[in-house]
Amino acid sequence: MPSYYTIIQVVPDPLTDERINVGVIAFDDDGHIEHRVLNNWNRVKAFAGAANVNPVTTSVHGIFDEALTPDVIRSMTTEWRHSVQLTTPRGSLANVKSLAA
Amino acid sequence: MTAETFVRNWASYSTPVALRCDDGETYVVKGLQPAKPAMAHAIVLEQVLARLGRIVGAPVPEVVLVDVPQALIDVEPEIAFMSAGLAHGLGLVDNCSDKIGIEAVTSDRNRQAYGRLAVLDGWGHAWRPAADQDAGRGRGVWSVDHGLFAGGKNWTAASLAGLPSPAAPFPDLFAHADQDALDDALLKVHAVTDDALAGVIGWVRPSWGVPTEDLVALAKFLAGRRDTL
Repeated sequence: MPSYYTIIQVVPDPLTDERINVGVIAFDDDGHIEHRVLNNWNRVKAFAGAANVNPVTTSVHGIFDEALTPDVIRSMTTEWRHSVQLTTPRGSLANVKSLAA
Repeated sequence: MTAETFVRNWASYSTPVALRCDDGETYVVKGLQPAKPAMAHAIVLEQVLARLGRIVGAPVPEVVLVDVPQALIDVEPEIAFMSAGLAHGLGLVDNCSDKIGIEAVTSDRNRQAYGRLAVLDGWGHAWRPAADQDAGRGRGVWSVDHGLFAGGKNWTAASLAGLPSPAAPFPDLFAHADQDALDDALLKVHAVTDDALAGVIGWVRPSWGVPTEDLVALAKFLAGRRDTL
């Protein structure tokens, strides 16, 4: 069963398109989903500015408030174009748990 | 080892890809490409010169063969250009760039590296526009791209025979080289027996399709330059 992962990125200014990785979501088409997100946001604070960290932290954690399915994740990767974005899913033969580890 | 996860690729002729493998490590992989027949000869140079670099103590990451499964190619469009099977791989050195050039020349680590690379370059007739540098703290130099040695990817027995005798193909390296490291690398070159050289060539996979006579010519080319370096 192939699996996929997408990297959660913070993009403080979509015009400059500079980005920083803050998490990963791994999933497969059987609906197994695992994720991992930064515990320490100090580096993001330095990158994005202190004023911007709380909103993006809320947005990132808000991803997991939704009823995530592989299709929902894939749609996020194409539709989220603001300060939190998800990369195009990349393929793997590893299982979802190890992929998110 | 077997590739499990696509990480990223780089835009260049050989389109190297970073693949995480079943040993938990990530390797930069260059493999056969149906659209680029010259890749077969290119990855022979990559594999052989990288292994020779390790022998002389040059800063070359771990050299491996990576099995790229068709199943991974099927799920990852970014590597659809590759053929499945064994490919050349080098351990990924994070945070490196080939855009930095020759610098951090006062570091002992780099001066020794330049000394050994100067010998490797002379042995394999390198064309090295820039050395890869770790862009992070310390800026350590690494040698990760060996497809432009020995005249490059279109090498043949005839082209190898036409290359000039060993010289300093990149004098900038010599200018910063640590003499002791250079001398030690030369000793290591001269200690490589014909059997050892054949063993290095033996890492080339028959599935890459490079004719035996070309591999023999490469072995003779390297043996000859070893003797005159």
